[in-house]
Amino acid sequence: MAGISLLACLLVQAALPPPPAPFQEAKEAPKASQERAAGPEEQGPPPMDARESTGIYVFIAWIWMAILVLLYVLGLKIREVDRLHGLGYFDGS
Amino acid sequence: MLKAWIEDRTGLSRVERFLNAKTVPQHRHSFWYYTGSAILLFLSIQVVTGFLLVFYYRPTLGEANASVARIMTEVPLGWIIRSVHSWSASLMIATVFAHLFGIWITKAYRRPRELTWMSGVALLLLALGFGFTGYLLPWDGLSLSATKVGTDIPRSVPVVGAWIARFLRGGEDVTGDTLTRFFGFHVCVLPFLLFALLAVHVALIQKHGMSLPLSVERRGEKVKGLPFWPNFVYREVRVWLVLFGLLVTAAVLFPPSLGKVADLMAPAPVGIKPEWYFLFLFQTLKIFPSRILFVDGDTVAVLLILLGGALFFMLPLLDCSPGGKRGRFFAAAAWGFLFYAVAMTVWSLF
Amino acid sequence: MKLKDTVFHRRRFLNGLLGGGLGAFLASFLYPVLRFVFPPEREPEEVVLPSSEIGDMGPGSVKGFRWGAKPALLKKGKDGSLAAFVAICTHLDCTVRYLPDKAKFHCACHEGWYDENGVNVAGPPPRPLRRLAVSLEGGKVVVRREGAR
Repeated sequence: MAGISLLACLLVQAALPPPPAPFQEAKEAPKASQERAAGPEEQGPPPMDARESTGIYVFIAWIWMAILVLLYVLGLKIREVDRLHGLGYFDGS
Repeated sequence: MLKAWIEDRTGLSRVERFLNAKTVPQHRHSFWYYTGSAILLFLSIQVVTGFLLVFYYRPTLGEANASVARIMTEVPLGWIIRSVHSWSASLMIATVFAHLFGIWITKAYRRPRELTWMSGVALLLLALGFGFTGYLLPWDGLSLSATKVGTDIPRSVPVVGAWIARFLRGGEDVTGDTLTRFFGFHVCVLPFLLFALLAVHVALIQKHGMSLPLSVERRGEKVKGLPFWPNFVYREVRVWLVLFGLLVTAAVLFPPSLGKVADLMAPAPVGIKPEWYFLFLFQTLKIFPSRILFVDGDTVAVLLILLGGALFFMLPLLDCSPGGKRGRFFAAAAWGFLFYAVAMTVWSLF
Repeated sequence: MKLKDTVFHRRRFLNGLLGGGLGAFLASFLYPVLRFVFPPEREPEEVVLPSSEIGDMGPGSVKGFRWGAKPALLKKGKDGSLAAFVAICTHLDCTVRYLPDKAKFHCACHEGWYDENGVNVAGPPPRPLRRLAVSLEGGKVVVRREGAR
């Protein structure tokens, strides 16, 4: 049951449009009129509007969610191979 | 069926059996074993992001800064790629330091692993070389000044100092030639040397197997071992995932900035300092007076640092009886050096 | 036997889950990398040519200008009308030239020929030259994408 809901979550995540898209589109618009390196003393990445900065937080949240899911699956896998090791499954052919 | 086809032509199952047979001991200090592959994780990320950045970076006096600005502002998601490259560099060097420290205090360098240690120290120097050469590439005021200082320090070495400085700079002064030369080091010479040395380092590790910390070995207890593949690798992947998450989070939330294009004639900017991993050396040089007796203070400092480096390189040979009293001195020296490096780094920030 | 069976099926399920999960995770980074590696084509919104440059153009002559990163040709017809074309051959991207005596565009790479309206008339080019919209605004010649505004 847990495995099936996990699989469903992963499929949904994989099918979702990749999060960077929302803030990527917005970045294209101001580019045409952007000045480069002439004005400011220091230059960071281009200033972002609210949509882009939200997009960044969504991206980070999504990455960590995916990582947590993978950590859980790996935990299951580790238990599995440890059990096999205990049974002598990997000790030569 | 595909597996059988590949097996018939490559005999790769031998590798799998080797990796199955290779065991990783499980004990109190096992967490240190994760540092090696963590370095490889960050190195791989450096290679990939480096490939991507080199598509747009232009290593010439006239265009370097502008090309980095273009990556930051015009190329889609360029700022993230650059930020990941910058953060992964720092994290990789931090992990190298951690790896080194773990090897030192567990005395994993003792016989027969002396060459593994020495190749490791050489790899550390190459990693620092990557950091140093990469720092100049954006060609802004800060990186120019840091490079001027950094390439001036070898001058203090007697006899060969001036030659070393000229070799690094491509001339007497830091110029556009230095930039192109550093780019050549960063993307061509150093990668080649690194991968060659890494192959030796990893081959030696496979030959000798994983070492046991001296304290564990002396207790004489039977230590359980996990098969490297798949048991230990799956655990490593978990560590990689967390490290990767931390890297991307830091890179996205705290991207590096870019200063105005370097002016070869301008005075050094206020607050000039090297990257964090050089700060303790920087501070060490600063505390030496300008003259000691008849000798230039810098020369004394540099020679002392070189001496320290040489002793560090030969540590397995110096710590020849790791189990004895002398061995305890060397273990304490690890903590002493850590304290020194951290204290100097913190001091340099004020 | 039974234990090994269970082990095998569960292993395959877990392996699939892990492989699929890792694959999805890594694939999500593929998108930003591809965006990075294939930056969007940027053409200018418009190119303004000062009329001083056009003033000395005789009828049936051309003047080259830059359309973003591409070469382009501004042609003054025999009746004085202006037309602009992207001077890139539709065959294999060579830069074309205009031969006023023949009133045709010529591509030297594979002997492609276009008439004075850019229509492909001989040789391998499969399509006419791309046209750009030209207008005179306040004494300046403004070139835009065809169909824009």
